[in-house]
Amino acid sequence: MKRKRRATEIDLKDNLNRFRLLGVIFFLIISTLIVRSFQIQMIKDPRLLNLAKRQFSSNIILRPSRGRILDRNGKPLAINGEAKSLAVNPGDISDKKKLALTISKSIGVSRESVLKKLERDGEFSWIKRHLSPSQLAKLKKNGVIKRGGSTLNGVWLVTEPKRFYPHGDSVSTLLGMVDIDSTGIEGVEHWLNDDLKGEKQRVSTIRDSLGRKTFFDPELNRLDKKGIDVSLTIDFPLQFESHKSLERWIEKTQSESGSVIVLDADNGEILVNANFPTFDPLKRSKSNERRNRGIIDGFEPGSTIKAVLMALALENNWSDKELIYGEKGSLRVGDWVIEEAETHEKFEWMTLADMVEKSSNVVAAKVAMRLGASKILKGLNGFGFGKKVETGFPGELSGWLPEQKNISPIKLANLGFGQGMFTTPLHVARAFSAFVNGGYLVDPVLLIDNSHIKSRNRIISRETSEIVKRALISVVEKGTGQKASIPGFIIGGKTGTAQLVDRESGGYSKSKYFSSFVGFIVEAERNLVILTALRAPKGSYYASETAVPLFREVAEAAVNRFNFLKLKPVAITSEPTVDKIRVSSAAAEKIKILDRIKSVAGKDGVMPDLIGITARESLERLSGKSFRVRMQGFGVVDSQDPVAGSILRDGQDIVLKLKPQVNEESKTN
Amino acid sequence: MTRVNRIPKWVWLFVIIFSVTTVWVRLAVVRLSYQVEQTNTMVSNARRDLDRKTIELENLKSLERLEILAKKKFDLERPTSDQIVVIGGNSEK
Repeated sequence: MKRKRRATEIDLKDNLNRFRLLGVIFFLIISTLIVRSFQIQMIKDPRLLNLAKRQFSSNIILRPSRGRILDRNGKPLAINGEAKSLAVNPGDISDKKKLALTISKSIGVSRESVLKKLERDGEFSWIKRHLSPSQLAKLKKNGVIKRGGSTLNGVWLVTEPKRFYPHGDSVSTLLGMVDIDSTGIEGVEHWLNDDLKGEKQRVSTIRDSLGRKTFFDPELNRLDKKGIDVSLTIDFPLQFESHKSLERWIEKTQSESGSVIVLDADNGEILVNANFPTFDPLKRSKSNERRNRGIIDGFEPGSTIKAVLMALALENNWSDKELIYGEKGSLRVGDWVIEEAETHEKFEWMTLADMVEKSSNVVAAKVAMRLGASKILKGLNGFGFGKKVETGFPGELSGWLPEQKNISPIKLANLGFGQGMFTTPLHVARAFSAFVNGGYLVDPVLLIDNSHIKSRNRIISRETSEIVKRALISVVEKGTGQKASIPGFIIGGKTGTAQLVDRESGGYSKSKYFSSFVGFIVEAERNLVILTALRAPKGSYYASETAVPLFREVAEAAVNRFNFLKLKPVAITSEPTVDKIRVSSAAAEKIKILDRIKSVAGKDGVMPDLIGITARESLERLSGKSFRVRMQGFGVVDSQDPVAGSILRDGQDIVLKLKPQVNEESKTN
Repeated sequence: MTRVNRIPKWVWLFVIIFSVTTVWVRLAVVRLSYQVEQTNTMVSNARRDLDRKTIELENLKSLERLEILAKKKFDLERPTSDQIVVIGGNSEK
């Protein structure tokens, strides 16, 4: 019994030892695991970190949307959309020949070309980018794209961003275009590409086993650097009307090309920049069609420069009453003979204003020669010729003026009537702004940028500006620009018909001309300079028959667009049918003015006292009979001729001298 | 012989609550992230729709198209300047 008991005690002791051993072993294993877990979980191991990153995280490329291009009123001119593109993984396609045939039939590309792409090495190959809706429909019909949007094995339908231009070709020479990867390659798209494109961002994110993003990173939204919207100074409704008018006149005159520029003479904003030929940015086009001719193409300005010449003469202390002999229409300079162009008249004595009104080449040549090369070149330079306008538009032409040392007498004489120098339509429009805004040279701008301080440099005195303006008004009233007149408005401007250089002979062509007109509407609510230009019009090539009527159409469009009130009295033929239409307060105000004009028409012709009132109010009081009202200066009436109380006859001239209203206010203050 | 309880009960309680909260927060973050992702997808789809509609609208409003419609469908012609009566001041100045 004792022996048995002892044996049991020994067994229990052995078992206890075994349990202890097992406990120790388990403890060691668990401790090792805990230590290892601690090592893995708590201590950073670059190798393990990389492994985890590869397993859970993936890189995402954030593609920013391209900024829009808007007109001055916020109307979109270039916007973003999407297009489908067809791509393949050649390795996954079993019957390449059959697929090539199907795709070829659907998208209208040759079978060989598709097959070549299907047989390429690698895992990705584009077949056709930016498919049209009809191509997509055919791909669906032929089974390449299945119902529900899935595709055949190895074929991908990729969604890509695409630029859209809702207004087609009417503003395309300014906007330019982008390539298939939405990178600007022409015009504003190219010029402002860095702002428009935004910034592509590569960010990493954690994904779950199904590839879904499981961790939302608020940084992602911050990193999405979208392209900036760009606002142009263009007024699209006026741009469209100008474009249409230009198209009509190009067709009518069979011209090679043409441009229209409308410039705000006070702040330099370019409201219209229309060109022809033009192009549809979504279709293939020739480089010739993509030129922004108003800014990057040069021409010899011709007679339009005579207004600048007159200003230079006045600034050099010439009197506007000084008479210059017109040499009876023919002037010999060395071996050359200068003749009158448009009129072929044998002018004798004329003032500087007559030179502009009658567009005399001979007198202009004599004025240029008398002023001398130094003053002419300095003056033209002051008006901005021979250097860039600095709008920033790519390819902007600086123009060209001859060097003083190279100027012979005939070259100097030619400069007087705008030949022998090279400039852009924008340069000419800018120079004319000085005759509209009181003598300042403005910096033309294409972008609405409030931070940009629009600088204006005085280049001529206010008096010179007014004298030249009057001469330009007489060009439209009596001279070569008569077809520019619009009833109810006072228009000023200057024609230019310059010979083009014949590429074959190197001399001036006798059949090709550059016809232009640059003008403005006097005392309008907005000071606009409008330039119209037609290159090589056929038939009657004179500016008076081509560029001038085009100007009138554009000016009328501007009048309607900006609701300019008529300045001159107009004959009223019938009662306005205002009772049949609902009119706004602005329109009602206009109709009231018309009514007042009509009521005054029946009254006796006694000259009212107009001193101290504005030009518009004066005209309202004078309206009704066919008086010829001439205004000098701007602001309020300072003096009048005839004096108040005089009897007025039909057709009588009334002269009102105006002075700035600001001075008057400051006096009273 | 009495057994010495070296770890107090509140520690166990804390560990349990901490573990449950950590797991719950983690799950909530994942769930919310999915929701955010879904919303982002909805936003980008809505943006895409907006772009499409904008293009459609601009094409419909295009002056070129309206002019063609006016001429072909309604047999209208361009008015002369004296036929235009401006209703409503649209002057920017």
